[in-house]
Amino acid sequence: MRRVVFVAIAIVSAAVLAGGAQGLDPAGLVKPGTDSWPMYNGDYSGRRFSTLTKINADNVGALSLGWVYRLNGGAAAANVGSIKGTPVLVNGVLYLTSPDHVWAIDARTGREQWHFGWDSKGGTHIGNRGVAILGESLFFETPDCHLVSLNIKDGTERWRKEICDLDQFYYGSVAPTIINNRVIAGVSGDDLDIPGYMQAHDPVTGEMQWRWYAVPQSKGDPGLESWPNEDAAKHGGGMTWQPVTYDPDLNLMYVTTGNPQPVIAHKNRAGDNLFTASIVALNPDTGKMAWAFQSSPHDTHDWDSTQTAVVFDGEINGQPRKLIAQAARNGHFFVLDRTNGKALVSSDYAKTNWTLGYNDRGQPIPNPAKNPQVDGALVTPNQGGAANWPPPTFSPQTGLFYVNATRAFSVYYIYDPGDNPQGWGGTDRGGWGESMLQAIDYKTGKIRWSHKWEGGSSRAGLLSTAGNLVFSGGASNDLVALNATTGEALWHAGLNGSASNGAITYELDGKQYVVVGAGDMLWTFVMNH
Amino acid sequence: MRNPVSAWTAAALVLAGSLYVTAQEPRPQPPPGGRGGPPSGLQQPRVNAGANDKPGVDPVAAAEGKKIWALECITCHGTNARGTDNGPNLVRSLVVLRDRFGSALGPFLKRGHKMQSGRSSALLSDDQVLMLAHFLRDRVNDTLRGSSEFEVKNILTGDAKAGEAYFNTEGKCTTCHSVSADLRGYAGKYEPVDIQQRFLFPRNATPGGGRGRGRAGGGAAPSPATAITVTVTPPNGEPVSGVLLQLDDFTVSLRDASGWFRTFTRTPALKVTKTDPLAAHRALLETITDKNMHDVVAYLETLK
Repeated sequence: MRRVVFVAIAIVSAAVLAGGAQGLDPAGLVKPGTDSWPMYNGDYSGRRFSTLTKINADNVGALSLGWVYRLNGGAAAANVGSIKGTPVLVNGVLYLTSPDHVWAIDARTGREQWHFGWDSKGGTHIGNRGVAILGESLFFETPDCHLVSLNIKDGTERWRKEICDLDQFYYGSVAPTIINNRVIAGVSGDDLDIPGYMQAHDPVTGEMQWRWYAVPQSKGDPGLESWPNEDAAKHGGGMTWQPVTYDPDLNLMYVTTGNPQPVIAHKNRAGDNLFTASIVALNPDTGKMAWAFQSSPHDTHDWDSTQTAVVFDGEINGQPRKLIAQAARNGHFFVLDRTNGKALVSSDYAKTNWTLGYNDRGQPIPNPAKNPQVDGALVTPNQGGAANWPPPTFSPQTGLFYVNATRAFSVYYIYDPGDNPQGWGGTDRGGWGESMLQAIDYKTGKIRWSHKWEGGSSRAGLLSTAGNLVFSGGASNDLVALNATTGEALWHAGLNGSASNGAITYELDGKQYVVVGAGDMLWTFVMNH
Repeated sequence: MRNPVSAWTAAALVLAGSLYVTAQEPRPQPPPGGRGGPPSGLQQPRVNAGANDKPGVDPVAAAEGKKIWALECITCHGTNARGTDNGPNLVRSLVVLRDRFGSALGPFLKRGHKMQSGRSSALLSDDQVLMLAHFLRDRVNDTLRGSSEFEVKNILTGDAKAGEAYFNTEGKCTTCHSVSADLRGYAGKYEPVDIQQRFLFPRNATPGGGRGRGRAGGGAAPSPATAITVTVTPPNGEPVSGVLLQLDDFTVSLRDASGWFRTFTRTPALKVTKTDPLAAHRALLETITDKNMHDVVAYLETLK
């Protein structure tokens, strides 16, 4: 009888969430149409590749301004931060965030439909990556540790749930992901020594369904052998800063985890520190781990491995494979078999000086001399990493993985030379760097072409399209379109500042749009003829 | 005989009482998206994290708390409250992290906790608990970026003789520099860490600078002598040179010697030649070892 009631509730819930004409059907998440961008990366794969071709390498030179929306110019109060997330497009409406704020914007005109402001109790307001949508409900995180659900029609609140502890200096910034009727949410924070985790919530009630910790929390937990003791592991970091990617066929979601804690001074956490700085495959229904690959064993440089793990199918040595690839913050590129996490390709996409080669599992072997030192160690990449949170893109058309890479040197110092450091205990200083857009052949890990940003640097996120284009923020406060095959810069348009997210594209009423954020402004470009 | 800390305690209690009341009252609501602010008059960490109402630290109270700590707590919990084999780490304690001026610590200690003197912690007065709360919050803040503990320690570990040899030979420093000219008295101007940063990353260095643990990085404008310059040669025109302002795939901008801002649209026929006076420093990063780096700092530090 209880089971019957449960099933009935589930059916009703699913029907409600499936939504009416303006909602997002769950099927739209698995196979999104070109008139939508229904999640952070556009689809579950993380490829940020669009099949649209109306704007292409032959005509992109005629791309021109569509509309501009300014966060500070609408109904919201001033100083609402900048756009460091990706808008989500559902049924002609863009849903956009900054910390404590959500906007609904007409995707054809840039007109604001509604704005939601959150009354904050604190937390780090460094950025917000965006929303998830299911049915007629929207989900986002706040800096003061809440997962909040709104009605997409009018921005009214449905529910709020606390997902982390502000007193431990956690905060919320991650764009949630909807998988199998669950809201998957990560957490942020790296000031105090706290564990990272990922959790699932019921989209109707907000109740937590499971939590997976990135680092061992008790005896018997996998990975405990890679820490000196249980206390070090329990406080060992591994924050889940980024939205996950997902393979519906394998029913595995891919979580990317942050650096270990204490961050720089590392004397009290000898070992590999699993499962920090890793790609981890989890069952989205249970939170159980299937496999993990650690790209930075015993990281000491603040090099999280939360860069997007991109899902695609391809060929390695002539054999068809289910693959997942990541250009990690530590400067190394990995292609794994996503069924089991075995490394198939390991290479550096920005020359580094901190490794002694790769081990037989394809992981970089850290050079102990390049760990931070009291008197300093000159290291490349710097703390910002060869790549950071801005998303890469993969084009199945060219077979190239594109990432904006930075090659920078800095000196890493230990400030706390004691046996039991806490928090950071050191940092890096100074620096010289250059940046370039790298096009990586996934089969070999070799750079096919490299486009240097001559006049400065760009860490912007990327978009690739079947129009043989890659869109990137440039080094001159501009949006640039490059030929995806050759790297030739074909078009650019000046913005109000550096591109601060990754561009997206969609088609409405036969017109293709390209949308990018720069600071507090959202820019849209179209073919106006 | 009054307790020797009573005079301070009276003041501290007034302060603490007002703060505690403040923390219990409805806080003024910040504007949507606003941060609100911590209680005024107390030291807050530079890291902009945690709850708006996280407790600040009164250094006087923390110093008094340190005395209690030394008498009753240090043996088990350690000098910096990070724990020992006999007692847990309190910097990571949820009781401490969730405490607001004794609100969580007080009830915990009132339950009775054997201290190193053998007394029960239940005997601690409210103001002693408050002092301990300030001391412990100060220890938490020590671990954060920007704390007073967050500073470079001794970096003078190199061999000055070896540094001199590297300076004169392999490092090729004498191509542009002389210890009897531009580097004369160099060590008197800068702290060792600034010397290290300045020779590795001169473009980030503040012109002039000064001894005083200044940071080499920080976005200061480059001096004219080290600015990157560019020469642009149109297909049918005279070359134009100046300080590079912007260079991308589409345009190049410069300010010429007469002060005019010039922009050119880039074409295959437009020749653009960039010159970086600090290119040798950049190239050095590819070859210099950490030992070379420490030796050069030790050598430059001798240039008083």
